[in-house]
Amino acid sequence: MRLQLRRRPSLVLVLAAVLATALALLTAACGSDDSKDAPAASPDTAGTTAPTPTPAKVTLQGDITVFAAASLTDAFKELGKAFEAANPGTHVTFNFGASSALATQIDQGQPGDVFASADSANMKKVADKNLAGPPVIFATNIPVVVVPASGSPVKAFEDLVKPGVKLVLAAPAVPIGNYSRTIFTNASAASGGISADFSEKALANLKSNEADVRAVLAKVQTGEADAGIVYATDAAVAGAQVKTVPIPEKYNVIARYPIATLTESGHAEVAAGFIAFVLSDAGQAILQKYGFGH
Amino acid sequence: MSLEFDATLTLGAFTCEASLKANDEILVLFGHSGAGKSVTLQAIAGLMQPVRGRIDINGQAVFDSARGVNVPPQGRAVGYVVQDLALFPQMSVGQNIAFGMPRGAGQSRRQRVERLLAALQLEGYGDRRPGSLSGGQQQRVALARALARDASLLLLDEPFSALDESLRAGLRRELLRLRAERGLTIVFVTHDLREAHLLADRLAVFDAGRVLQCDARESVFRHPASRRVAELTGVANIFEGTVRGIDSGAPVVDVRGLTLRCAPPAMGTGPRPGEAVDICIRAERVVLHRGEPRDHTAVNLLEAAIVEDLAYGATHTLRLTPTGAGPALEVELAARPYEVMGVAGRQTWTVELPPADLHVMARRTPGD
Amino acid sequence: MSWNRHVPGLSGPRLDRTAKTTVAFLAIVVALFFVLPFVGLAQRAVENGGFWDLATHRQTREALWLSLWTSTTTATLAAVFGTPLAYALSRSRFPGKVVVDGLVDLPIVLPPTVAGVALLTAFGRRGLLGEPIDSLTGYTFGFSTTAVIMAQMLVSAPFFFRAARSGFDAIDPQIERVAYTLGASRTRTFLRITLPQAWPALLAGIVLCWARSMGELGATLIFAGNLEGKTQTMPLAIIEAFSGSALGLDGAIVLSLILLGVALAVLTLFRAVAARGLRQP
Repeated sequence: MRLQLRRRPSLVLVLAAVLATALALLTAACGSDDSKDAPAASPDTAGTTAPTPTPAKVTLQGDITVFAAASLTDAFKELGKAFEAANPGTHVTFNFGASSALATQIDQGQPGDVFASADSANMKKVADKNLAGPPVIFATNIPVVVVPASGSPVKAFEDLVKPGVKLVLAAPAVPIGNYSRTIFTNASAASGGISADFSEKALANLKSNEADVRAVLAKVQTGEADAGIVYATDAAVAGAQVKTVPIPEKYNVIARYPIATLTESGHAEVAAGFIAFVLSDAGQAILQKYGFGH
Repeated sequence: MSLEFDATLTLGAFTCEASLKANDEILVLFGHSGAGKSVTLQAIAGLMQPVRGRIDINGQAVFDSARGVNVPPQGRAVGYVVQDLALFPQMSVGQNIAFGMPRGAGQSRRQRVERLLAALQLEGYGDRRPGSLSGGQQQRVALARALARDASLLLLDEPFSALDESLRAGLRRELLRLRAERGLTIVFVTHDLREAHLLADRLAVFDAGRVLQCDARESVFRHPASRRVAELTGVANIFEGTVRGIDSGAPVVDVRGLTLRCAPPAMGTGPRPGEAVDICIRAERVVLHRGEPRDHTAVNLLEAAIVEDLAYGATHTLRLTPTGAGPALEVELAARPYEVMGVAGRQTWTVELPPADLHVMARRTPGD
Repeated sequence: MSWNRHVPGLSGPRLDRTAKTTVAFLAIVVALFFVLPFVGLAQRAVENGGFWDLATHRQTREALWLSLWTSTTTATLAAVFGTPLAYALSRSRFPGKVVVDGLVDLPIVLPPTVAGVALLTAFGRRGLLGEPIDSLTGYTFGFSTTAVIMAQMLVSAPFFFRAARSGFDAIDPQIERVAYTLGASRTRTFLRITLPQAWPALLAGIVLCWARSMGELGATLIFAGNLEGKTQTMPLAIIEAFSGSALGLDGAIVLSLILLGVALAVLTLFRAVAARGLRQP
C-alpha cells in the first residue's frame, strides 16, 4: 500500500521532479541545524545527570522521532528528557496518538525512528510490512474504569450495564478500545461471567468511540460521560478529577507495550539507544513512577 | 393640493429648522449640499421623523408632534424620486411602475401602466429591465413609478443631477408639462441655481439647516431677505452702506462716498436713516453707457474702468473699478450687446445702477 | 505563451517574457500543491478497488446521511435566524457596532477545538446552562445529534451571517425608502425588494455555511463525540477509518472522495444558480 506513482509517467515525472526539488530545498534548510549543533556536543558528557548510564559508551548524535501510544504521553516525555540528558548529542521528538493511528502513519511513510505501541496487534501491522525491527515488550498496563469524581451512577464494574449510563470507549481499532471490548466479552463468558448479555448491554450504553485513550479520559474528566475505560496510568494522571473503579481480575486483560526501531530510521543507532534506555533501570524507574509494570 | 411644513429635524449633531408652504405649484428647495434640503424632503415623505413641528398635506396633518400624529410613509400618498432613482433592478419597467398601484383590478392596472408609459414616452419599454435603459429613460421610469400612486404631491430629490445637461433640459420641460397636465404640487430639491430658477414657482433658500427665505421666485431673486440669500442666489454686487435718508419711500444710501437711490422696500417698514444696511444689484441689471446717458433723469451714475473681462461665450462678466467714489462692480453682459457696444475697445464707462434693481437689506449682526 | 494576444480591445500593460515565465512557474507549483492531493486520492481509490463496497458500507451511508442532514439543518437554521439579524445589524447604527461585528466574526478565526471546548463549558453536563438543564430535565446535549448541529452552528453560522450582512450592506437603503413611499409595508419591501436583491449573497452564505458544516470535525469530536449513526459525520468517520476502523485506510480514502464529490457537486450547482441569477437583471 505504499504510494505508487506509476501511471502517466510523463506527468508524474514532472510532478516528482518539482516536489523533489522543493523537498531538497526544505531538507537542506532544516538540515543545516544538525551540522551546526554537532561539533558543540562534547565527547564525554554522557552520564553526568542520568543516575545509571545505559550502554552509552558510544557517543550518540542525532534527532529521532518516537511514535508512541497516547497512554505513554507523560511517562515518555520525562523519559525523553532523561535520555537527552544522558546523551547530549541527541534530541527526541514525540508523536503521541492512538497506536492504530500511528501504525497507519508509519505505513503511509511518515518519517520516524521508534514505534512504541500499546498493543501487539498494531505493532504486528507495522512489523508485517518489514517497517519495524523485532519488538521488545517494555511495559505493561492495566485497564480500569474511570468515572467522574462525583455524580456517576457507576460505582462498580457491574454498573456499566445499567440503563442510561453514558459510557465512552476508545474506537475498536485503538488498543484500549480493543481491550475494553475483550473485557466485556470476558464478562459475558458462559462460565464465570457476569451475564451472557453483559457485552451487548454495555455496548448499548456506548455514547462515543474516541480517537485515543486520552480523549476517553477527557470525556470523563469533563463529566460528559458517566464512565470510560482507560489505563490505570491515565487514571493516575487525571488525579482527583476522576475516580477509579477496578475491573475484576478474572475479566481484565494486561496490556503489553512493545517497542521497536523503524527500519527506515535515519538514526538507527540513536533509535536503538533510546530503546535500550527505555529498557534500562533508569527508564524502567520512570515508567514505574507513572504506574507502568513490566 | 397643498403642503404646509413647519418642523425641526435633527440628524446627529445637525439640526434643520424649516417653515415652508406650497400650493399647486413647484416649490424648489435650494441650497448647498448639507444645508438640510434632503432631510426636509424625507420628513415630508415620512422617511424621517422631525423632533417637533407639524406637516400638513392637503390640510391633513401627517405629522404633528403636539398631537402625536405621525402617518408612516406608506400612508402619505406622495411620490418620491431620488437622485440615484432606486429603481428595482430585478423587476421590469412595468412592474416597477405597477409596484405602488393599489392591488386588485388587474385589467385597469395594466391599462394604467400603459397610460403612464405613454405619458412619459416609454411605450414599448414595459418589459425591459431598468438596467437596460438609458439614463434619461430610467429617470422617466422613476417619475412614472412615483406618479403611479396617483400622488398629487411629488417630492424630487435632485432627480436630474446625475444626467448630462442636454438630457436635463428635456426632462425639466417634461416635468413642467406633467405639472401643467396633472396639476401637481412638486417639491424639488436642487443645488443648481439655473435649475432652481427655471422650475421654481416658489423658492426656499436653505443654508446650514435653516430656511433663510421662502417666497415667490422673483421675490427671492430680486428682493433677497439678507446678504446670505443674495450671495446664495448669485447676486454678484453686494455693498455695505449707510442710510442717508428716505426720499418719498425710497431709501437713499451712501456707499463709499457715492449716494445711491434705492427701490422702496417690497414689504415691511424699511430701514431708518442712519442705519447700516447691505444693498445689492444683480450683475445683469447693471447698465453701461458710453459717456452721459441719453436719459437725463437717470440717477445712480458713476464712472468706472474695466479691469477684467471674462468671456463665457453667451455672456461676458466684467469687473469694474470706480475712477472716483463708489464701489467695485461686476457686470454681466450678453454677447450681442457686448459686441454692439464695442465694450472690448473702451476701458472707461459710465455705469448706471437703476434704483428699481437696487435692493436694500437690513444688516444683521452675526448670530442674529 | 500569448494569453492576452487574442483578446480584442485589451490594451494596457502586458506581461513581458520574464513575468510570464515567473507566473507560469508559480502556477505550476500552486497547481501541483492544490491538485496533487486530490489526484493522489483518486489514484489510490482506483488502485485499491472495492470502491463501491466501501461507498455503500453501512457506516459510510450513515455518516454521509448524517453529514448531509445535519449540515442542511445547520444552514437552514443559520439562514432563518441569521437573515433578520444580519438585516437588522446592516440597517442599524449604534455605538459599539464595530465591536458587535468583530464578535460575530470571531468564530471564523477560532480553532474549532476551541469552539468545542467553549460549547462544553456552556452546554456540557457541567456547563453554565447545561448543568441546570440536566438537573431540571435530565436532558444532556453531549453525544446527541443536536450537539452535532450545535457544534456546526457555532463554527459555520458566522460564514452565513457575514455573507448576508455584506449582501444587505450592498443594497442602497434609498431603494427601500422609495418602496415605503410607494405604499409597501416593511415586510412587503423586505420580501419583494430587499430579499431578491440580497439573494445571491444569502445563497452564497448558505452554501459556505453548509460546506463548512460538512467539514466540521474538531468541535463535533469534543462536544458531540463519535458514534455511528448518531454523531459520526463524514469527517469523524474519516478520522476513525484512518486510525483503523472497520472501513480501514481504503475506507478513509473512499469517504474523502465522496465528501469531495458531494462538495464539488453542491458548489458547481451553486455557481450555476448564482451565474443565472446575475445574468437576469
